[in-house]
Amino acid sequence: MTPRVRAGVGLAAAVLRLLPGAVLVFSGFLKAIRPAEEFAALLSNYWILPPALLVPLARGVPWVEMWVGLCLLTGFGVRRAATAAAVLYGAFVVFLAQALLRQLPMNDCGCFGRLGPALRPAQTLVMDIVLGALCVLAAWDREARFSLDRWIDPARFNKN
Amino acid sequence: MPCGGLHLQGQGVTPRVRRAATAAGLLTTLAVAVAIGRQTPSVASGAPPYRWLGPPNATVVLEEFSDFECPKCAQAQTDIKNLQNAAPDRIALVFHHAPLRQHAHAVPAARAAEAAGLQGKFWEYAERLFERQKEWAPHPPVAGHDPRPFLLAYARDLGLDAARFTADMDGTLTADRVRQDRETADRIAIPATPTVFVKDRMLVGSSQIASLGPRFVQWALDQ
Repeated sequence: MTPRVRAGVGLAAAVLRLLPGAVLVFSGFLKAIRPAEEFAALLSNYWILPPALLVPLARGVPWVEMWVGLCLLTGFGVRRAATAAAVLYGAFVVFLAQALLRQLPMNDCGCFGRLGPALRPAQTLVMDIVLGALCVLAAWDREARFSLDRWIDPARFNKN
Repeated sequence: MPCGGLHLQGQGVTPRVRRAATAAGLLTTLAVAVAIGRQTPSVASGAPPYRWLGPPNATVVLEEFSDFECPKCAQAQTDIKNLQNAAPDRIALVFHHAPLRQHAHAVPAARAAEAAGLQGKFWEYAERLFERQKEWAPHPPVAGHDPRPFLLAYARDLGLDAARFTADMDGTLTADRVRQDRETADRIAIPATPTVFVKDRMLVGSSQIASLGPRFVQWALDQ
């Protein structure tokens, strides 16, 4: 890969990581500000998780989403954050795909809690696949442009 | 290349320290944002007295949002009553209408319950509506089905003044009260029916009411 192409890919990765990051922060925030039981009820529509896990998960998942999303947005531990985000989006895809395969009656995937847009599982599945792919691109990029990582340890990037 | 970093590094701030400080800053930002945005739904019960079951000076008030046409609401009634029966001298139950828009007969039923309430029989009538839900609101819905004869028959069964009941059911007072409740349900974004509030905590759906309800009530009583 020529330096020019690599620079272009690095720039694209830096810009494109903002989208999955912003979506994660937004969706996590909308759920974190509401009672956890509300998101737990949405999770129960998937008929896949044991009831005892629903509320603890509903409490924890929004914070994980917000943290990973904020790290992507600001470029803090970009590659690790991008990998974690790709895993998260992958998990969401598995969740949604099983719901679609089982033809569960759902009008709202619940991804944005009750306050955000009510997307159908099929719409969210496509969105999550695209956002997950952007995360893979960000995880692969070593340049980490416009990131806090570069401010924290510039020497590491100067070596490259 | 950002120059601020190099400047700080020159002063002996190691990347590790900077990383820890950044993580702390980001986490604090998140925590503050969530604390500011936190929505704790409060119902501030404005229900008429006939929809209040239990002691007037109850220390714990369970605020129920239900739809008479919702099968899960009918299913949850025993569990909801059991929550109140855990300490009937300290817990009150308040009913709020949350008629879902997809339920064609939910509003007439809610207005009928209000009309019964005006004659002091709200809870008995509500119980009847839930018990005989399949009769006045068949599932799946039947085209052209009219619930009104059933609603009037239940009123007569309970010994209500039929003429007054009909006038109240069609009157503006019952319409206003049901509309106000629906607006409250929309304002606090009731996620599903039935939803029960135990102080500022929420139980969404019949399974949460059954599984988490007793623990929430105990927590509220212990406060």
